[in-house]
Amino acid sequence: MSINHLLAIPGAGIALQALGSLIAVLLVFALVRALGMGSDVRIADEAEARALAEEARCGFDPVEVALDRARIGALLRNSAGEVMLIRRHGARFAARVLSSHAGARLDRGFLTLSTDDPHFGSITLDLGERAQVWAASLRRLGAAA
Amino acid sequence: MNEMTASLLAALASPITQPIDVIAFAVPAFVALILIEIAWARRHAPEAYEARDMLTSLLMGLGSTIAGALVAGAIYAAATWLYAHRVATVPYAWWSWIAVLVLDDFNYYWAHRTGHRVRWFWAAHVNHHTSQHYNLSTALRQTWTGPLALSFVFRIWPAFVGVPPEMLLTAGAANTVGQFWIHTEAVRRMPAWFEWIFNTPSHHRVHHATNPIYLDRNYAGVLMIWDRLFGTFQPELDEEPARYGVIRQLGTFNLLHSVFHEWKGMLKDFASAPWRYKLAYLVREPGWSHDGSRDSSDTIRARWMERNGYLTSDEPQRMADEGIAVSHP
Repeated sequence: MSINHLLAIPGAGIALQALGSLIAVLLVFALVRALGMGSDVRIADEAEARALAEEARCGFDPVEVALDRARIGALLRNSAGEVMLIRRHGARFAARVLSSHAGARLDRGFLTLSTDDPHFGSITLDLGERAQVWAASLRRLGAAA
Repeated sequence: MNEMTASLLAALASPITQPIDVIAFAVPAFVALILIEIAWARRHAPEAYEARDMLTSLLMGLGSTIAGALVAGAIYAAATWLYAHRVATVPYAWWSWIAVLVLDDFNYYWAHRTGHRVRWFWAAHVNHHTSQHYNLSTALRQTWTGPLALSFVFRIWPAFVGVPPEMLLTAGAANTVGQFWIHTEAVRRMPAWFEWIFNTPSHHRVHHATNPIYLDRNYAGVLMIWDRLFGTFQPELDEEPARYGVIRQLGTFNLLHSVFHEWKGMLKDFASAPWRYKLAYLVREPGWSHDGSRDSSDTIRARWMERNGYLTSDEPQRMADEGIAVSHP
């Protein structure tokens, strides 16, 4: 079948254009990946975790902060007892206020958390000795507690 | 008048039989500029690009192109129908091309403003704002569902007053192309006169930012004058670096979730709301809820201003202009 016959099929032009674009997209993706772009972001300290919480929700005002040992996530509690989970997302951070402890799993110093948003995914925080204390306090959250 | 000018004027005065696919002509330039920006970012701002984020943006752009191609005929037919019932006729001429480009940009401003202030339209437009990065690939993170939301009605009405549909749709495509270059952190500021008249990377960084003071500002397409005229202009403040994305960051690179999440959320709210509030969940601003339990951009900005002791939203800029240190908790 010649290219002219192929292009004569209804919608073939758009399909070929889309295929060409897809190949170009994947090539640019491979280039950016090969260049290693998007830095390995970490939460530097409690102050940065607080700033990230403020960015996620203006006025969250955390009173307690727990940082993951690798600084890829954090848990923050405000005076109203709400708990915010911050986790790395690519080269940025994203946050959710936890609504229950249903997604919390404790394994010694590791606390695995998922939220009511399945697309947000789960994260395992290495909180060391503080993991048990946070796990216990999360039980106060929501009806599932 | 030299020969070239004369032939250009003659070309502009000649009717066209089909809309000119300006975007297709611009694609090679888009690709080249993205590659140049990647080279710049590698040297100056490696965090400006993230491979998976960029992939999501580009695939959304590809999907948007396919969705656009599928419905382009219907939109063209709707504009043609309006033109068939027109009340006047706008001729092809150099001045009518300029007038239509300006009119379409004005229409874009209102379509865009509505796209942020009415949840039905936001559900289609939010896609463009879901990246936490701001680079030229973000410009291609475009809606798949805009035609479904009927947001094109803001752009095709001039056919009813006599603007040829071909001219109108060509102007619309040119407007889209004209907005590509502003999605970058590589350009800090353009000359002051340019910043006053045109939309620029600085103005559009504000538009994509989630900082409370920047929320729902700078809706302009190509001309910045509309925001200045209708009270939605906010300059970029040096002491308030833009943070990008949406108020509730997605936290995922899932393509389909990025495209459809707000439709899903809106329809869920619509289904669960008491009858008398159902319509409001479609037409009120994003973040509105009948029990006041959620935040909209207005409530967030008001809280931020109160926490920082500002009375008006232009106060941070005034303080910066006067050399007063502006600090935020």
